[in-house]
Amino acid sequence: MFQAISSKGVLRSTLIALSWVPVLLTINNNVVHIAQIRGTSMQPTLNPQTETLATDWVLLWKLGAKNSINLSRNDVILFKAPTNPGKVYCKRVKGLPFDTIETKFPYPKPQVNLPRGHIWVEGDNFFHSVDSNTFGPISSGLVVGKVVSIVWPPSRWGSDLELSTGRDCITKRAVVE
Amino acid sequence: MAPPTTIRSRDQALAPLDTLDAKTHCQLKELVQWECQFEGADYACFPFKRLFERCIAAPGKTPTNYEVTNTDTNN
Amino acid sequence: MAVGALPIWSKTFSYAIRSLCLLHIIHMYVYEFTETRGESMLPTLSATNDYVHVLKNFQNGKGLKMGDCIVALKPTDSNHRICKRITGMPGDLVLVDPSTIVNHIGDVLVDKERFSTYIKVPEGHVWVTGDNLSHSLDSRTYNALPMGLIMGKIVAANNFDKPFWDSSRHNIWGFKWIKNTFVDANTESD
Repeated sequence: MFQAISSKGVLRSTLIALSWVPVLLTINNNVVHIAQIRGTSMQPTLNPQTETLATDWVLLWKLGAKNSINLSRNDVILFKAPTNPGKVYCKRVKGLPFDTIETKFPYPKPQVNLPRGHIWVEGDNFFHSVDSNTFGPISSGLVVGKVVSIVWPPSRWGSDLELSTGRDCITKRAVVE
Repeated sequence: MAPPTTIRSRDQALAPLDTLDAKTHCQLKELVQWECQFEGADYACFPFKRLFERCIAAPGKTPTNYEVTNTDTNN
Repeated sequence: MAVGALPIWSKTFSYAIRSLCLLHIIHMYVYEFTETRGESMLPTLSATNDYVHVLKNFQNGKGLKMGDCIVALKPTDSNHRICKRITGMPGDLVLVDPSTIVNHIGDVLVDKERFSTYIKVPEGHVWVTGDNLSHSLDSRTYNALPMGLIMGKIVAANNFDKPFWDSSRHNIWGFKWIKNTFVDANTESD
């Protein structure tokens, strides 16, 4: 008798716990998320430890990040790779819609005007970065989230996300109305 | 905006078709789209056919579609 | 459980949150029923009051084929969504705009260039055009669409201007399947 009641109780708690899973997923998808950063393209700001395999984990703010109005120049963002939607890249926003950008190799034109809803992204370590100079301006709809702070490892807490902001490439900023 | 892309002429674009044997590698496909005009109360739609050669260069490879729509396709 | 001790309003609120989030997750990953507007997909979808059934497992372009109908974020404005048909897969060579050019007084202009202006669809992108080539803002203007913006595949539609039950067609609210239109060419015609 006692046994039956307790197993019923376990089932009940499990179901209640499960009913909260969609809530967690919703928050994870739309509000905040923790993501691991791989690769060296954002050195020295992210993943500065070249010798060790340690990687940075960051807190990602997702709410409204797909809208270019909510993005600023020098924000560090994660976005779906335009050339492969299964991959996510981490770069720095270097230009907002209607800015004029001075490009570098291998972009085929020396200058580009960013169209409506498009941003220019580059890695801080711009010698080792596949960025807008390769795949062009990206639609802000590809943005997954904005990096707010480094959460792991603890030694990196409070690190400055604008330690280096890459190269200066804006030749003309969009006029803000 | 997609990555920088170059515009090709018909000859450049369809050059790979010359090296493929159309009978064994390619299949002619069509995709009908429309051109609609608003006429008073309703829309009048006229079909616009687009033709493609769907070619598989080697077994197991993903097919490539080459658009072969020309001036006569819709006449 | 402590839940039993909570006041009734907080219990209701907790249920509401969980149900809404569950609905949201289903909308994100499984299925969505949503309104479409505009002339760009005529005559496949009507300009007003058409609602489409969208399967979300085709998100990011996974499993999509040439000729499928899709919903995607508009590349130039992520607040808007677009409904288009895939008319070019990565690596395909497609004509940028073969459609008829009509000038403002209604004359059809003949331009041979439009049958010799090709583009190769880049990796990770698809070429999309509206079924109504005369009134559609699509890849012809904003170039290939990154697959990352694709939200799902349209498989069917309803029109709420139609009667609930149409006895001649045996459908409810004008239900129709939206099929893939990339088919074997009919060799008899032309």
